[in-house]
Amino acid sequence: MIALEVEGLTKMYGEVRALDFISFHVNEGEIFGLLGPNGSGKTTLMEIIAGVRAPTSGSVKVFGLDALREREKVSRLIGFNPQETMLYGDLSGWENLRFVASLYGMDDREFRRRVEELSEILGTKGFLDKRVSKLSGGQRRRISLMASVLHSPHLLILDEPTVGLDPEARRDFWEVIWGLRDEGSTILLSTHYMEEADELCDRVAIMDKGRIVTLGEPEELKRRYGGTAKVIVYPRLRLIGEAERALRVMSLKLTRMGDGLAVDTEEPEELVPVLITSLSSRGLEPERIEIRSPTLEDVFLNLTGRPLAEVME
Amino acid sequence: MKLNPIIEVARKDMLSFFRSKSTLFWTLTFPLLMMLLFSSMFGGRGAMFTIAVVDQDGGNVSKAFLEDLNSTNVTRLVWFSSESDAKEYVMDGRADALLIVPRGFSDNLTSGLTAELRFYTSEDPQVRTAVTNMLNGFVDAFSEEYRARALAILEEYMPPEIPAGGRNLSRDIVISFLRSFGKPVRIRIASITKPELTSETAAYWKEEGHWITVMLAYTLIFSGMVGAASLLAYEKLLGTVKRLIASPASRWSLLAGKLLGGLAILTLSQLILVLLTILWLRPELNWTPLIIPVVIAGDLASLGLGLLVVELSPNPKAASEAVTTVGIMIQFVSGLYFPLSFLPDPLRAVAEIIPFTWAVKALDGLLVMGKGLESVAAPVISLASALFPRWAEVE
Repeated sequence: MIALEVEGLTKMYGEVRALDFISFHVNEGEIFGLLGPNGSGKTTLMEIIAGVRAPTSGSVKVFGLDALREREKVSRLIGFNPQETMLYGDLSGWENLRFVASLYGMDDREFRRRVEELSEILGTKGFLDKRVSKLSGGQRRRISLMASVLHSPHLLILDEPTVGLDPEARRDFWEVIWGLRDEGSTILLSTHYMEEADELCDRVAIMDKGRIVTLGEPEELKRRYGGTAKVIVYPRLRLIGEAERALRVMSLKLTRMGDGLAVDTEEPEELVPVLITSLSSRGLEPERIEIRSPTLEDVFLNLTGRPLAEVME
Repeated sequence: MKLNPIIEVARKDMLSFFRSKSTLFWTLTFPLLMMLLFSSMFGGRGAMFTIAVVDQDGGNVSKAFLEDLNSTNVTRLVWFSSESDAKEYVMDGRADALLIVPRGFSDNLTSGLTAELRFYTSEDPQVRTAVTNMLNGFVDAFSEEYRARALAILEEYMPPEIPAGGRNLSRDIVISFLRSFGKPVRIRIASITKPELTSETAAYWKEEGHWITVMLAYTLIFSGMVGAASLLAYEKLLGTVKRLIASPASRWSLLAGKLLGGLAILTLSQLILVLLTILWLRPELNWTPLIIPVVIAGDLASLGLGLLVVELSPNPKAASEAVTTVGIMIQFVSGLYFPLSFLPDPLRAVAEIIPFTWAVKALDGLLVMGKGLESVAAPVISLASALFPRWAEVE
């Protein structure tokens, strides 16, 4: 079943076109990623789906219901967790959750049962009674996420859920997302971390300047738009010039990449022994060699002509 | 039992309000500090002048005179038996003046002769002028009262016809004639104040009952209008308003919850401030149930205005700054601290359209001046009209 269907969605802020005729769908039970730099329209798109903003034109259907016309019904199906942690600092985690539960018309018993259940999954038991202003960023995010899924939404919308978290906390968070998917939720999340989208999402849509540039499974996108694999050779630093000259003689497609020399190739496994033999015979044994497969970052670069890191600055 | 969004929105706003130390300072502690500062500077029920007294006469009239003087609340009399001790007391700066009632004061008065008082003041020219004016005023009033009583006695015992210059004068003509001699300039004791307090402003501050109005109106402006706007602006800044909008709770129930929370916060603030003001100043007030509609209309209007400011502002930060600035300005032009007559005409015209001015007028009318319905009807209509169009716009 299709959980979310977006058709021709456009959003104008005055003369600025924040979303430009966006269309896509998300299947039930899928983790779907919106990938793109800041300002690409991810947040606007998610806020329109969540009912926070109105579109200029286009339609949004959630489990077949028109999100714009049947807002109350649709809002019960959606759990929305925006970039901000959306918690009241003067209240405890528990008080924040109770407030959110009231917005969804939950009864007290159901609320307590659900808090018990979710605090197990999200690991929030130890700090739910503390004031939110006293909690760490990671703890706040967990409670905020808990608030978003308290009413057991069918479609969970997470806007940059791991921004600001350290790599370890981010990995913990992925576990949580998988746990929620296993619970039956369909998840639409946005991120600008390419490895996160790669690791977490069943399918991704890459966005730039209010448009979807491409959409598909991460592996498929990398295969189609990621270019070839790279073998990166790291010679001793003082010999990098000589090593570069030696490799150029072999007519390889070569680029400098930091302290290494990157060679584009369709068959990296075959190339590695050839490179080692060739360099060693000239007394230029490399310190290490890496094989790098195409990433979603390469996909973004190849499709937009700009590296994502540059766009993020 | 189902959790009710209206109750929970109100509960959440109240918890946020009462847990924020800075909010509590500005809405509760600050107005109390203002009241304590200004009332102790300009008013209060304590005596303004301390006068050392030596009653050398000790007769009935001198006792009555001193008792009357002591009962004015303008003076505090300290009795001495020795003139030198009393002078020393004044020179030490512990009293503003020394009053000596000489021997024979009562006898002279009851014999129809002139009675004298000896009066010494401190060298401070302001104190000298003020305390002398005060005593002159009191002596004039006392003399007039004394003359009135003497005439009444005379009238009682005077025969109907009195021979004078070869013809008979009627008793009424003689009494009227005598009254014309003794027509004193009446000086009201209550109006005797220190020189710097003769202004209308000081009288405004000195009136303890008005401080109840100040406390109520201050909460309307700052707990009500500024508070409601700040809470909503804070939600927008925090992003929590997105969760509210994304939820199935209707906009009206969210608004109703905000209103309920705002009303509860306002009522609690008002109760705390009014009770503490009453305990501190013990003002004489004309309590009437008509205060309730005025306060409720004021509460609703102030909350409505606060929410409107946020709705109309380009962003929450601008809203918060705008409403605070407006709040600070409104408190000076709505009659809280200065009478409206002090304002230049254009500013007074502005003041007249501010709902808080009407609240101040109504509360002063009821509490201080003891007026009735006539002082409530216009303000309540004005406050209500400030509220309703705005709710429509907010929605």
